[in-house]
Amino acid sequence: MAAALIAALGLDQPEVQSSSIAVLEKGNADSSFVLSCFMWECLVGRSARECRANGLLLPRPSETSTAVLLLTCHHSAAHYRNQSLKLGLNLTSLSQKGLFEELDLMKIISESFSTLKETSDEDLCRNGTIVVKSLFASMRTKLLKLKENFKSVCLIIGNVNDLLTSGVSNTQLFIFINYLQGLLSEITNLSLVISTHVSDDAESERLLGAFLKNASDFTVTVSALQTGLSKDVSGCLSVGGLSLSSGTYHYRLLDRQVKMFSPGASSV
Amino acid sequence: MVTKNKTTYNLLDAAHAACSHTINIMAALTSDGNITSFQRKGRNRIPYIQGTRQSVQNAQILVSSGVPSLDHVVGNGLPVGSILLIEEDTFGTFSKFILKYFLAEGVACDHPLFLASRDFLPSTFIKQIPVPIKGDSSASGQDSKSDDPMTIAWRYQNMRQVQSIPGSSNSGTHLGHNFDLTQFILPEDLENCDYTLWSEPEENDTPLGNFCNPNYGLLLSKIQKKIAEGQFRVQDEPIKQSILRLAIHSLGSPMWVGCSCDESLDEGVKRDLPKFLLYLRAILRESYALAVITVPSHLFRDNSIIKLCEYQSDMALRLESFAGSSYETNPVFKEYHGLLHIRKLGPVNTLATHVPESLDLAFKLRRKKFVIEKLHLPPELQESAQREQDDISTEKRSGMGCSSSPSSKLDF
Repeated sequence: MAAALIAALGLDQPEVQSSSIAVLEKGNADSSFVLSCFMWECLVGRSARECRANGLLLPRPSETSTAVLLLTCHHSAAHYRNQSLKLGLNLTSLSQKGLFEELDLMKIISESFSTLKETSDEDLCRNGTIVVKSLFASMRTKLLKLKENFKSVCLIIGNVNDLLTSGVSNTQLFIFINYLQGLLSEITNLSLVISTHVSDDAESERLLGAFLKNASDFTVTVSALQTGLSKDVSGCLSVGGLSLSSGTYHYRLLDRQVKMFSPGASSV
Repeated sequence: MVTKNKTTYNLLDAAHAACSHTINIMAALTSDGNITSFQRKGRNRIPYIQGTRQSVQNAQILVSSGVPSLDHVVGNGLPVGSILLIEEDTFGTFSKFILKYFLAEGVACDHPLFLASRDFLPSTFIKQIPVPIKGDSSASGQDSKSDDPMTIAWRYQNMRQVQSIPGSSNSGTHLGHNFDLTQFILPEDLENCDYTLWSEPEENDTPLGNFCNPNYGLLLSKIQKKIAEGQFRVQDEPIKQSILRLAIHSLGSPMWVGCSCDESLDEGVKRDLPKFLLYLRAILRESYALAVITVPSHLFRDNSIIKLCEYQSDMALRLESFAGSSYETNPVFKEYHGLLHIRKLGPVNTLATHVPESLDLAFKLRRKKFVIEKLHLPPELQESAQREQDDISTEKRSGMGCSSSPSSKLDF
């Protein structure tokens, strides 16, 4: 399950619960499983721990739970739903309960191509290019609505660099992220998780990665093995931050589980 | 308190197990033969489509690329809604063959085709797609075992047979066909196929997306139109569901240069190519279609272009042909025509990605088969200089030992 990753990285600590976290994926590694683990931690892990501390047996979604808003840019929302289901988290049922909301940019782009209607100011996408101002306004409204019903809220953004590819300029994206960071002070008990792909060859992606790393409290870096593919190790994961002890781990993705271990201890 | 909770959990688990056991017993009691009375609630949402198979891991619909060994390398088939990126070999010979196989598999499975290229005439290319080999054992799922099997030493009988061709051990589960490259599709068969060709933009087309080079937007518009007209979108409910196969050749080659683009070729490609792949992926994710795209990566001077393209695709492979290189005359590679490098195998609707058995892969083109194999050194059957030296050194040593002359039948 996802608990191994969260515990190994120390992301179950109370100080992490209202902070901003940057997830950087390097090379051809994929960090979507880290975001799924974060969702599991917010929707199941935290409430389960709190219930256990209060002597209750089964965690129930209530006003003390954490709600999640997911913005997917690279993978579809269905990808995260399927991935979370493997980790024992049914996002469909949670969205029916109002604990989970999603914004699928792939779907928004696809719909903007298929519909021939005139674009208005409120549209999130104009001929494939995402309007970051409308996107921010939409996300802020959703977050405030979630905050009315639940104790804490978590905003997770997957692969924000795809906005650059869709035609958003670096400056606009930096301002967009800056506004999102500003929500941390506006909405209490809000945590922010933003992932981005970093390629050393692409200057704009490298700048975005450096900006996110600088603006966040904690950084989780996901990278592939330097030596190629392995059946025992899927990749390398490292964490760093202000109050967390930095460390490097290897991980292995199984069909329904994420295994974590120290480098060299995969066969132990 | 913790112990008490654990005990309660164990009791709950035991009660749950007992309950499920009761259900199993009930199912057995009410069953009729081997069929249980329990039926899945609701209808199966994934329709049966010819030439497809459902993945057991993530229920993803898989189709064959036309090369069974390639299917095995990328995870038993190509997922519908995904993009396979192929970085072309130097002369683009083998990447064209893979495109031909991909299209030929579509014809064999009665899938609609879409072929786009600006480097050659698609109308000529589509006439050259091969036909399936008659009596192909891999398609019918039967092993071609000879009547008189080769007898081997008893001590090796229970050993696992070494399979250099990936996926050849479970040929009964093959999805695709093998094709004969010497025989082209008959014109009357081609007329019955549903195919769309694109090389030049039409006058009435309006480009999608804000591309620097309008050709990308026009191609995207054509694909979008084809998907809408053919009812390949997820929300559509056609009479017979099928899969649209998109084959795009040499995307980003110098023939794709835009007339209205003031930037250099590399700058324009760097801006437009990843964007095109992002938009195409967004369209494909919402439709019953998949794409195989070849890109001439050796022509890009900026290394970041191909890295961005790999990132935007779901799977990426690179072909390295031996033609024109020093490997062509190397005896080590004499059995092969090139190497296959796996650049990316991304997760599509799943947690764990497929990990191939080996990364050292080579391909060879036979008359009737394009095969991807594990790279291995050829057996040393001829006398080499090294062997002669070994013999000489053995002779020298034998003079000192108890061995007799080399002509003797006895060694001691």
